[in-house]
Amino acid sequence: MKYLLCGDPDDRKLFSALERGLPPGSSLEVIAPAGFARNWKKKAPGAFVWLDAACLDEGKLLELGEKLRSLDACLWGVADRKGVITDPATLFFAGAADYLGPPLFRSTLAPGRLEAALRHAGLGGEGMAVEESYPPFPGWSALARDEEVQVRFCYAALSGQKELRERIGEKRLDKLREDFASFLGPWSAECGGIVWIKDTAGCLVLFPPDDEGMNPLLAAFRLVLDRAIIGYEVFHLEIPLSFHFAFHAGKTMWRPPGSTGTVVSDDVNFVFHLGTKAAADGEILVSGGASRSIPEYLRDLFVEQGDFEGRPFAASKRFKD
Amino acid sequence: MFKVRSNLALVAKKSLSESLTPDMICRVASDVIEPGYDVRARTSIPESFPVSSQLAAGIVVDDAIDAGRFLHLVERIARLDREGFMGRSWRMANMREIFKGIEAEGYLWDADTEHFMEDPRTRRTANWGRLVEGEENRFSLLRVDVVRNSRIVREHGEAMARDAYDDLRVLMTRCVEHRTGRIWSWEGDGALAAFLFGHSTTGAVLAGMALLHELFLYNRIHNNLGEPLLIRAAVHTGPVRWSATMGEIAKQETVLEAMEAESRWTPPGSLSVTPAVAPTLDRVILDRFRPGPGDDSRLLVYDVRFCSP
Repeated sequence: MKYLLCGDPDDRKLFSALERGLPPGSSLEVIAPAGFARNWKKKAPGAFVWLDAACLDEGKLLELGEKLRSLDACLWGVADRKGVITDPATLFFAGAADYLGPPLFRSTLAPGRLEAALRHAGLGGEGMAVEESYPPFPGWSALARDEEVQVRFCYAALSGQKELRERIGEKRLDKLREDFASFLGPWSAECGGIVWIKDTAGCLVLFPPDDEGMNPLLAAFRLVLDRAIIGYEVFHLEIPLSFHFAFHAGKTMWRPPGSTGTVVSDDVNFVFHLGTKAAADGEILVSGGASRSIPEYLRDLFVEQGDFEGRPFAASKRFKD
Repeated sequence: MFKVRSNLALVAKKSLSESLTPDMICRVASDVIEPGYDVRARTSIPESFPVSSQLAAGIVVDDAIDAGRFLHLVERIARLDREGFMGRSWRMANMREIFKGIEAEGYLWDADTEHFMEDPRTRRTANWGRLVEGEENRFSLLRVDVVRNSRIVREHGEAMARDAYDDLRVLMTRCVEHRTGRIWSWEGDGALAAFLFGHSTTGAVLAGMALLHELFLYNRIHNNLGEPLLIRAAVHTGPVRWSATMGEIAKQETVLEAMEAESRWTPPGSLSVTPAVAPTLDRVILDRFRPGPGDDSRLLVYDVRFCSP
């Protein structure tokens, strides 16, 4: 589920109080009222929207609430940090699902506060999918050897390696693969990830189950967009370079990079197969299990592809060279 | 502008006088200060008396400082030290000390371009801290303008438009300065960036491509206008005389040509390169461009497009 705040983007207190109350891994998007008035039809479906009472007078607030109520799977509430609403009950009569009054902003919102609001609206269960959230990720160094962990897998590889070999030769291709693996280190670290296993064609990168830093799919999208620039500036290639990615979420036994040995994991096998057999040049594939990782703003760029090895997956639209 | 401390000047004089003949010092000065530089003309020593290396070095270093070309002088002797001249090697003394003295003033040696650059962590000035008023160089210019600016301001209000343009400025500054370019002017809805060092045309073109990519994501993630923020961008190259007054720069032919390429020939949401730029690009970059629309266009254009399903 998306969480939006229609309010003053500079009101840090309001923003941080609300954000701390969200389920782990969720983020809050703040949109100024003027922008929201133009964008609500696009942004609000499937979202929980808080309207900042300090930015909207009561009439405008109820009018906007009425509009949001008409949208698919949209809930709205009011964040009233400054206590300007005289009778909060009128909001509920108009269909609001939540009201956060001034006392609630003096401390962190109670855990489960949001779930309670969703349940009250009758949407806590099947009606609106409340995403499963994972326990906070302890960090790679805190994991014990052979401990089973829930992660997001990403198989990343250089595209068109056969053609690359013909054009730059085996030796330079080997060096390019090494450079690419080194490049993926800082790239994945920006998303809290780690390069786990390297094979001849690509690398298996692990990310925490929920976003920690940049969203890894956005990071992959950036690489695919910038492929020509990266090929030229980073890898100093005089021929076109592209990448492809396969994302999957699942479990594996943890072993530190470099001493993984043979990993027996259905999910690891699947993501290797998806990345090596199904991904085309410049494509980002996402298994059904990892689809919750696709940010809303990229969702329309992914197209359902049917099944691969019995599991559904989607593929990103490809950019033209 | 680079300030030469007296200690540094002394070390440079010592380096030249200990390493080069008077003739060679004059040759270096001809390359750096002005063609045909004559050290004897700068002294009152009669023709019959020889000019010593020490005297020549003193005069040349002082003249280079007065002309604002001390860094150019050091870059030239660094090249002499590395490559020699006409098959003969010239080992320059005290180079390490000279480099240290320059770095202490907040300049870094850039091995790719073989130039001293301002340390970007401390300052980024429009003339890279080294161009002299009236000095002419071949620059590559990246001109960027917001498409339908007036309508955006009218429909979304000045504050919303300003927010979006501020975001654009942040993105453009990042793309330009990452490639050692400098933003020369920002007029609210349009900008001019300049590139001088290394492969300056490639730097300008890659900055333009990177900006289009950044905007593609910005329009999806952060844009609050309710419609995509589109730009036209053009890269052109040619001679420009540096001036600290931007009005003086804006009148020059190369700048006007860049602006014309952007406003007249570039489709919205695209980056174009002029015929002066295209032949300087490596094939791998040039191949990303296609002929501009219309029979009259001599420009090549790039944009972010998806393959047909």
